[in-house]
Amino acid sequence: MKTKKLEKWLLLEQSGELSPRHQRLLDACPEAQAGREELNALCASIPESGAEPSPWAATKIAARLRKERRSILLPSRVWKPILAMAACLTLLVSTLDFNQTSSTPVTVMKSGMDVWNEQFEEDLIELESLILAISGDPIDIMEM
Amino acid sequence: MDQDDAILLVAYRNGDTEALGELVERYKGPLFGFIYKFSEGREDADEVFQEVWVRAIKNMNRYRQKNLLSWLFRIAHNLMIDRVRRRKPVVSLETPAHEDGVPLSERLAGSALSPAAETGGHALGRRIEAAASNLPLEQREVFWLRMQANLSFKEIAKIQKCSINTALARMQYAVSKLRKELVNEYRELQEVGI
Repeated sequence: MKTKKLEKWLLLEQSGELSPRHQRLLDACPEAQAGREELNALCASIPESGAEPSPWAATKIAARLRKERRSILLPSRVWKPILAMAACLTLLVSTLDFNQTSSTPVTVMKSGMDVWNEQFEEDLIELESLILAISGDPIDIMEM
Repeated sequence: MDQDDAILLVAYRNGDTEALGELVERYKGPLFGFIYKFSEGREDADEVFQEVWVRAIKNMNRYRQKNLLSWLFRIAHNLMIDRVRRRKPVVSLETPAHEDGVPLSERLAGSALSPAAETGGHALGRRIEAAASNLPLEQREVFWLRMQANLSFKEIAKIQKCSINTALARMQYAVSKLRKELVNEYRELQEVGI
């Protein structure tokens, strides 16, 4: 068996991924045992990693997830410009509305003034005639 | 997914923070050990470790694998690749960094020496770790995923987004380089008969 293939099969055997057919071939190979021992020795000499994360790792992860969930609900990068745009739009609409409503009463007042003037004129004529009627001039009254 | 992992995840989603703590505790050993070997010290490793969990929980609905640890390693691998790219945005890992033609990945490997040396148990283990830290990035990753995290080549191939044969070839190169570099140590091992 070629050395490359032997090494490959030994690695697969060690990880438990070697097929039963290849396992049988490997078991029959005389050089396999030496390679297997060498690989096992290498594995056995690798120390367990003593490194551990900070004892607060889980708390920090939970806090970060909470923070991110909040920012998903209200991401300031999104809602601030939307809020600003909404404010601008409201201002614009109310300004336009104000202009419209402030121009309408002018015409209403104008026409209202006209109506008022005519009415006033009539009232004035009536008042004039009443004054004349009660002026105490009998002749005039008779004439009327 | 492991039944217990699924239960813990559901519990966490329902507001049980302790369930997340239990999950982190369950996988902290192999995951942190792996991250530590590729980071620039404890604080950096802590940051990456937290980021891996945050990304894993956030993307849990996209999670389709059976093994949570393997999924976590995949995220850690992607994060590490991103970090390496960010550190050296213009130069490729395989580009020779100097006139001597040594690829950048081999030069970067030296940076993991100090954390590796810190974690080492006995002297032989430390020498193996130091020798492994000189391996190119991909080979080093396969070596530690197999030797320390005990992942299968199938899982390693998924993490590195390559074929099983490529993952196996990387491991073969790694072992053969270590054999060359640790000739005396190999003899010592055979004499002791480990």
